[in-house]
Amino acid sequence: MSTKSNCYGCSMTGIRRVAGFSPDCAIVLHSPKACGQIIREKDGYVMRRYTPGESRPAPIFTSNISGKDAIFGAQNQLEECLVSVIQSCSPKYIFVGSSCVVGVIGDDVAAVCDKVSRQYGIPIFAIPCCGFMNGGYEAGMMAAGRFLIDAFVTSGKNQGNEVILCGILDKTNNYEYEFICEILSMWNIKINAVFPGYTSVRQMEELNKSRAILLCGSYTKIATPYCKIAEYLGQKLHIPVITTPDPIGYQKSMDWLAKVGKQLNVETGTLASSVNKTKKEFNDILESYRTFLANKTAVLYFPALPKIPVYLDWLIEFARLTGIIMKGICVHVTEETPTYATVEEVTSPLLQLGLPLCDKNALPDADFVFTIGRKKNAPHNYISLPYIHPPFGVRGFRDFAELLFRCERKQYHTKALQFAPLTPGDRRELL
Amino acid sequence: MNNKYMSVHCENNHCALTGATSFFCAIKDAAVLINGSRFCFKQMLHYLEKSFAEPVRPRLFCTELQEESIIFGTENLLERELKKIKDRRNPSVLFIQNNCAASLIGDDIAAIAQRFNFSCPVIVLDSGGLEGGFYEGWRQAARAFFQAVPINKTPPRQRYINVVGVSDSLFNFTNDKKEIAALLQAGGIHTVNFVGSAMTLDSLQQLRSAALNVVICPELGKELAEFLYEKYRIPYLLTLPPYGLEGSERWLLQIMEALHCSDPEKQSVCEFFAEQKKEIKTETGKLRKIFGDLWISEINLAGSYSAVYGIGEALRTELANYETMNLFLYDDGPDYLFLANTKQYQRHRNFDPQMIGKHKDWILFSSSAEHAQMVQQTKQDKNNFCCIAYPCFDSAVFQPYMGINGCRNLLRFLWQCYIDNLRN
Repeated sequence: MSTKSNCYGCSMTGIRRVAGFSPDCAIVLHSPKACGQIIREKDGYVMRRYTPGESRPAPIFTSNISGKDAIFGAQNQLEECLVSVIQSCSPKYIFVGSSCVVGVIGDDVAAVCDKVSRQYGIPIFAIPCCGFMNGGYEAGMMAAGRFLIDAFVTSGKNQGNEVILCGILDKTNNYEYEFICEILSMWNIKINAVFPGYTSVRQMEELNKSRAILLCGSYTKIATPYCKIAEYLGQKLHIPVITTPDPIGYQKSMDWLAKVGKQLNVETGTLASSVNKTKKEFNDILESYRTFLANKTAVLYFPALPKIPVYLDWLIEFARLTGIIMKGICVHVTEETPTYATVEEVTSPLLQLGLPLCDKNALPDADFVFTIGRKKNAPHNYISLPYIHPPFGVRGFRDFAELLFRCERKQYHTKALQFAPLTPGDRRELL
Repeated sequence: MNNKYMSVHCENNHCALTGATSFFCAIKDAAVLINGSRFCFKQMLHYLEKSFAEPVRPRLFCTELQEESIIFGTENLLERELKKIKDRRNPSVLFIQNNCAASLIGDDIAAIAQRFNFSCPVIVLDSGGLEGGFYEGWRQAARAFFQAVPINKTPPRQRYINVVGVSDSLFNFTNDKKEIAALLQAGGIHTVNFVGSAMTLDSLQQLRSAALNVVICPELGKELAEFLYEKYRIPYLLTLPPYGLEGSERWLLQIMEALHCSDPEKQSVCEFFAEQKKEIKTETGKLRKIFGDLWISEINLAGSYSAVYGIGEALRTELANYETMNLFLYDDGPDYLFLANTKQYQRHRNFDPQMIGKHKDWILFSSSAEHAQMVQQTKQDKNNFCCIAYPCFDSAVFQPYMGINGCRNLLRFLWQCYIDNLRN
């Protein structure tokens, strides 16, 4: 059993993830101004992919608690902020999150939200967490998800050929989302909604047309709240939650196709056709890249223990399929403890890979050193593993192969520049 | 809408914890203990690791507050971390900061730290979002340091200055710092300290050997300069940062004037800049022959007032010809920055994408946050954006903006925008 408390991260981040890109929603943080900035930028990759036409993240407002408010309370400020947001943005609902300061000063956020909600006739959900207190990230996310389900989702007849995706944090450049969309399209199954994070009020009211919930991204502990939200939603709608190991790598993608196809009652011929097509795509990728990657050596290197359990079976499979020789694993244990798990929880998946232990001396000679995190001055043979967002499906597989290909090319080009030293005889000829 | 609740701020928009730690980490071998939650610590750490060239993690410690600490206090957590610091590090100075929640608990941090008998100075500070943003945190940290650590009296040396109000966490400061140093060298001026960057306790003890404190970023350094004048009678100079050639020349001459440099020395600097201007004029002349005079219909700048005013003035007086210039200023500037020709600018308090893009050829100097709003609004992503502040996530910046090379960099951007507009 994990001895790490589940109370990690900030509940305001959890709220942000539930609100996501929902069009009808606003987020008000009862907090100092800086908290809003940090929460807004924490999922900075969202903004990095901010291309024209893409969904906008739900706007975040802060009540701007300051030092004097710690003495006199900031309820009036929160009320003013809520009124200002309602009058300017006309959201259909508002999430109100609180920072840890509010937990200490004891503002009655729920009462303020209730008052404004009755005054203006829109739902205002006061999340009962304060920053890292009262459950932190997971509790904040769960509470936000439940509020939405209780307020807008109704049971229905579950007719139709639609599914709900749960656990997609960001659709843009998301391998898993792209893979699922492609496969469901081949199966003639429509995605009713991506919940939470992308669903309007109207879409939430029509979730009852779905026949199943497909849980995504369940490989990582950070996504645990999505499992609980999916469960809760499934109970409300009386539809099954399909939980399958994520399609990371070739074999798991094939397994995903088989299991999900079966649970969604996909017609045999259609299923076989999609399996064959996907298999071919994987094989085409292997054919393209094997020339450059076969017989290259690799070492898995952790300069410190990972912060979360990291599952790298897909990497071992990738190496096997491309002919890369995995020489071993090198783990440097420091005094810094993992963030969200125990030492055993993070080391166990690494030991299960079955690689021999090696030391740092093996690193310079390896063609690839797979590691986590991006080092500022990493040598050319270092590859930063995509372990938070692993390479799902075909495109993820291809992009990872491309990453190794580029690393291999870089080493090849730079090694070719080293000339043999001239002998005295050569010099005379040049002169 | 009342924008005070919603600001996509392009300043260093983290809380005071980050600002204060940024100051402390700039002191060699300083150790910093954050009395706060792990989440706050990690967000701060991510930010500092991006901006500091040297690893800062080994010098940072965190008590990782849990809920029960709010009720029972943080003494045991502090003791645990202070013991680690005592055992593992020999800090030159130890800073202990409370985040928001911890600062409300009321633990006597100084007394707890005293039990460990550190040989170095120990400075305690309440920090976090309640105290404000990055700039407030930096200011408080600087003040706390100079209040706690007396600076030895040293006779001031005439051509020596301190550069005050800088930080490695300021956007593009690493490149701008080299330009500032080069400018000072051109004027024969020596720097004792960059207060806020690459400091040591020894160099800070020489602070009073400077004849002048020159404030680069008044958001950081004005209050500190006033404090140092009050305490140590070190005169200070507040002026626009050195953007543009004429701006850099003016900046340097103001410093030399304050240092009572001789006329021949100032003349030499003027000749140096005259040479630089001649070179740039020759290069832009070639472009003018092909493309005509540079013209940008609409220039927009958003950010903290020193950068916006500094770049704005450089654009107005020497770098560009334009129809409209919008300045989006997130804070009030000090009086000295009140520009004489304010009719040349449209000044606004908060960034509003609706006010931009009235002309086909508009350009934007801001952080990536404002740029993202413009891309969303116009559904276009043209090459008309120059990133001058954090957050920066859609630009690669390798060149300074200040000084002579900074001037070239800004000119390159302006001319490229102009040429692109001509072609489209």
